[in-house]
Amino acid sequence: MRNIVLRANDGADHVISVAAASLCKTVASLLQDLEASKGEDTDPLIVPLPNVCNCTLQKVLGFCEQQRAFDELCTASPAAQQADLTRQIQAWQMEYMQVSTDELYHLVMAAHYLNVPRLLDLCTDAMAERIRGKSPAQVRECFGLKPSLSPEEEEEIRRSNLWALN
Amino acid sequence: MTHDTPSIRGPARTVGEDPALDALDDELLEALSDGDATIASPEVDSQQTVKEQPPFKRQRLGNRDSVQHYKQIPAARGHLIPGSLQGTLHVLPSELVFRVLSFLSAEDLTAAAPVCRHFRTAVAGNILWKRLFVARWGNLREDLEAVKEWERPPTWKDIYMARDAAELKEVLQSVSTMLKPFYAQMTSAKRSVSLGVMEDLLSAEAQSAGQVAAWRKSRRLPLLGPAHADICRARCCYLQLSANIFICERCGAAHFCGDACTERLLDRCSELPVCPISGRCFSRMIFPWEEGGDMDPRDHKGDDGVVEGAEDGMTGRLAMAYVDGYNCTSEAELHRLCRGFA
Repeated sequence: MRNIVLRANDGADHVISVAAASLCKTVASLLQDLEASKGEDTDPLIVPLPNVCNCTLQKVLGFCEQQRAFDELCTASPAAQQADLTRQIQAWQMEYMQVSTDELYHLVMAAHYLNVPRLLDLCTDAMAERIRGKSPAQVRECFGLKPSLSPEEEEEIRRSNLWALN
Repeated sequence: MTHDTPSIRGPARTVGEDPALDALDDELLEALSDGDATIASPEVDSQQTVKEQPPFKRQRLGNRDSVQHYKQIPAARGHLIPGSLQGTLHVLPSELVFRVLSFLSAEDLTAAAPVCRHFRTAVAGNILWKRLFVARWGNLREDLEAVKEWERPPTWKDIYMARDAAELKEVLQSVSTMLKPFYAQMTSAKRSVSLGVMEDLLSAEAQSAGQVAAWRKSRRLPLLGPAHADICRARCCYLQLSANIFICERCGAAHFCGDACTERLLDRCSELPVCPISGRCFSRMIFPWEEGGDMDPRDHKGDDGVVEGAEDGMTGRLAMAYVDGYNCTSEAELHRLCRGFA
């Protein structure tokens, strides 16, 4: 089977299988177009990705390969084991998402650019998790944001967002 | 929470079940174009990135061998990724911000508002609140008019909060002082329900948005979201652009009628939700016993002899008593129930 080489913006190459690459919709559609125009080709296909750095690409590909493995397990295993498998996938994803906010940002951008829907969902959920249940100051600290509102404006927003009885 | 879960989960489940169906809403575009609603963080210094995230609770698992073969990627925790945007503007595109925010509940959205300017505009997004509203109460538009006299056209956030306050007031009026804190807590807990993935809105959005944009351009209408009030004052005249996309020929307002259609209204005759724009019928989101306060859940149970709560794996006397107690709408009823058990 044909291999695909993804080249990060610093020139580092990553070889992945077509199966794993098909999770990246951007790469998958590129492949489809190529196959339609040229037919079968045995040379490895080099895809330069100027927007993705090496480290992030590695992480994204780790996700693709692992999801591929899980998908195969899912189809192969009987229905009784599905629940167990789902738990395993969740545990793996939880571990995968233990990254700094900066890395998470790069991951979201890469997932968006490469169009990996499942990774995008996972990452955006993880980001939301970092906002959930925090005070504005904590959110700012977590995302490295600078307060751009004056205290009066902040007070105004807080007043307009007051829930009944709270 | 056995009683209220169906109404809250109802629409969310429809969204999840069919990710292939996508909705385009002009308000999405509106939400996206609100300023340049991006998260900007100039000068992210290494101090902030070094900061450890609170550890996630790990699930204990008996067998994790199949997970182990995953090749560990050296985590760049504690230092910046080479080639990262250190020192430059840290910008997340608005559509991604929107995606992140769609995972948050009403309570979280209001709490996050004072973070910064971008957040303030982003969390006020009409479509976010509309989704939350429809998920919690269904689409009952005539109710909204009754809630309050509006000085200006209300946003969906205003409507959500007014409806929430009205519900709380209604609940508290029916119980005595002693029980008030508990009922207040139960009602306000409903604000913290979050919905999750926006597949309905975002996956095919690119191509349908392109279609809509092309149409608007050909009519010389503003590309991003119509000025509803100025042109047809919400009396739009829709024509069908493609299978699921409807567009107003005067103001260019677009409506995507998918499974997550937020325009649906209850039809009086058939009692089914119908989208007035596409004419599409939807299955009922509201359970028969939830319609109107006059019908008691226990009447329903008596009708067909099915034990309430049995579907949740709750059977037996204690569970039934729990469910009955939970479904009491007033204190007097609860007392009656207690005497019955004694």
